Amino acid sequence: MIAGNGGDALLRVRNLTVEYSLGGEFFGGGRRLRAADAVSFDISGGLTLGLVGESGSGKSTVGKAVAGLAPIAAGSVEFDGAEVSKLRGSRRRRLARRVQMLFQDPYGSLNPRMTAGEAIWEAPRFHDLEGWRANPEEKAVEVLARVGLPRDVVARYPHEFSGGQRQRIALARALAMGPELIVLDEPTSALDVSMAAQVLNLLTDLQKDLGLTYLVIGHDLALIEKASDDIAVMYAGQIVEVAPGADLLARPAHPYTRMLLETAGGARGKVPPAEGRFAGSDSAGCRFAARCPKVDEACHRIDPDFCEVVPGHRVRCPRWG
Amino acid sequence: MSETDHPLLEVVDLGVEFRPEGSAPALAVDGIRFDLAPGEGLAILGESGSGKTATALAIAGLLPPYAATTGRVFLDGEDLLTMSEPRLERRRGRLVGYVFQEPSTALNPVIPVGDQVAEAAAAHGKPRKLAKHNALAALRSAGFPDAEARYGAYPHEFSGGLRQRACIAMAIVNRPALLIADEPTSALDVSVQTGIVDLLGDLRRGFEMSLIFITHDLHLAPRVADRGLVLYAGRPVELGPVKDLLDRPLHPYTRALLAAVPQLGSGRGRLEEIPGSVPSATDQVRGCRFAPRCDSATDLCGEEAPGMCEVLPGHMVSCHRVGAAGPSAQPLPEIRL
Repeated sequence: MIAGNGGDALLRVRNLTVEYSLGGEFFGGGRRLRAADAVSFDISGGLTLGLVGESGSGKSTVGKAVAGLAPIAAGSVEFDGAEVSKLRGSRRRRLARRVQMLFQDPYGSLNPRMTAGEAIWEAPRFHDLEGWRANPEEKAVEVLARVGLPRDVVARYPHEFSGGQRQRIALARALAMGPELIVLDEPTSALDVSMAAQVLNLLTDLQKDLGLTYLVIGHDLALIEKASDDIAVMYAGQIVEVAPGADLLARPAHPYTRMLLETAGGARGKVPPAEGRFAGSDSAGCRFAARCPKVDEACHRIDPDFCEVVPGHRVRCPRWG
Repeated sequence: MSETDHPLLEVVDLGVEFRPEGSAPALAVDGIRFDLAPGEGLAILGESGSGKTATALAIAGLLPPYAATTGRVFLDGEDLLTMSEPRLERRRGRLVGYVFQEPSTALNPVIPVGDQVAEAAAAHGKPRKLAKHNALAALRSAGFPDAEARYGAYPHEFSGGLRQRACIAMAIVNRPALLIADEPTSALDVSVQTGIVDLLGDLRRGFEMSLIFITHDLHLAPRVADRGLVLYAGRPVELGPVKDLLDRPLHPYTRALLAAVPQLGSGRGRLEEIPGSVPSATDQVRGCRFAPRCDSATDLCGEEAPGMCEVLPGHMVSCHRVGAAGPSAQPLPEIRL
């Protein structure tokens, strides 16, 4: 069970808070944007948690923090029992190998001056993984085969490939490290429909074959549903609801989740955009209150807890508190 | 739709070939044929490389100099493809408005948004004062109720959605008979996408403007368009009422494309995928261009390219398996949407 507090989670995130400085610190301004605020979830080995939200909801920030690419202001990210921010030296390097990240834009994430082969063997050679120093090309061909690309890809440059092929190369580069957890940040958003389906199915197959664990981040609820065992919905830096996928879709408890479902179903109208908050400026009450169709007076007073409405289904809403 | 029989736009066997210096020529579009009545909305659907943008640019007379065209594009009775450049300049602004995919690059970052809209009006001979008046009206129509207050704002002060609204204001300020929107929401957040699409639908109805809406997202099409044209690798594969395309698509490509889109509530699992990839525009392909990826292809499909064939009233398909033998020859599997 991912959504609950199972004891054997591979990834355990507790009260994760990430803040970014907005500059102006010299003059005492120093405003800090809280992009992720007290985010908690677990992912069990071999399963997928889908993190869905709009731009600015903080979902990518959470993904980056899990991959060690964002500054953690408070809370913890535990991978396989070890707190990530406390690891140093060789243990930190080993973690870097076990957690990989795949980005949305395969154009931006591949160096245009490196062949696909060079991009793939750079990191495993640096980490001195078995066989990669002696025989990089053969090893690269092996991982390329895993993502369905032929041998001759090794010597070619990114501009020679389509978007779908580039995303496969980026995936091969992640797989080369032998990861256990892969953070997939909008893995198919930049791709055409038919390529997106191929890449998503490839990810599903690889998960099964290699026992991978995924944190998949996206804005498209239907796609996240296809790819995920459990789904967490983010709004304004917080997870507002998390549940097994089928449960979340059948019985959405948070008004924001319901709104997302209606919009995804083609209703006319617009979902209010989510924004992060400035650190230290927290006013009381639910963040969604100003836009919530079900708002009542208590919503502006009570900062809602994240409570379990049924086993495995948690929601952050004053009306459930 | 309008009462008149005279179409606003008639595209006859349009072909576009790009001949960039030093590279192989690429036939981006071939054999496109459709017409558009005044006030009618057409969605052009396809993936990257399908030729949707080349088609739209040809209709707007905006192709780069290294592109060669064949066929005819009659807009309001005149063939745009053979028109002289100065005449095209004059006619285009009044007849066609164009909304590009990326609003951040379509706007000049150092000129206030209102002035950019007014400039589009002034370029077509409106005196300065009238241009500003029209710009304000266009901004209001595009969803800025406080147009006066926003007139002097710079593009960077706007979100992506508001920038696209400003671009739409610029495209409609001369009240064109035809508005072309080329993937107007692809660069935007999902939360603002439907707002922009619905705005285009409202403008089309409000101004009785024809609309060509280009998208890769089939499910956006019925919000703004009556008919849809599906392109694959530069060729038309299916043309018909949008609702029919979605509810009972006939061409194997349209069917596969719809099946590849995840549907909300269908649970965890694999997606239907289309194997292989789109042929390059530089490839010489005999026969149907979709045949190598098609699960119902026969020998004939690899030999001979099918033509567009009307198989149901107003519903044309380019497929050997659907066209000649009629739709009844091949039972259509139910597609759940």
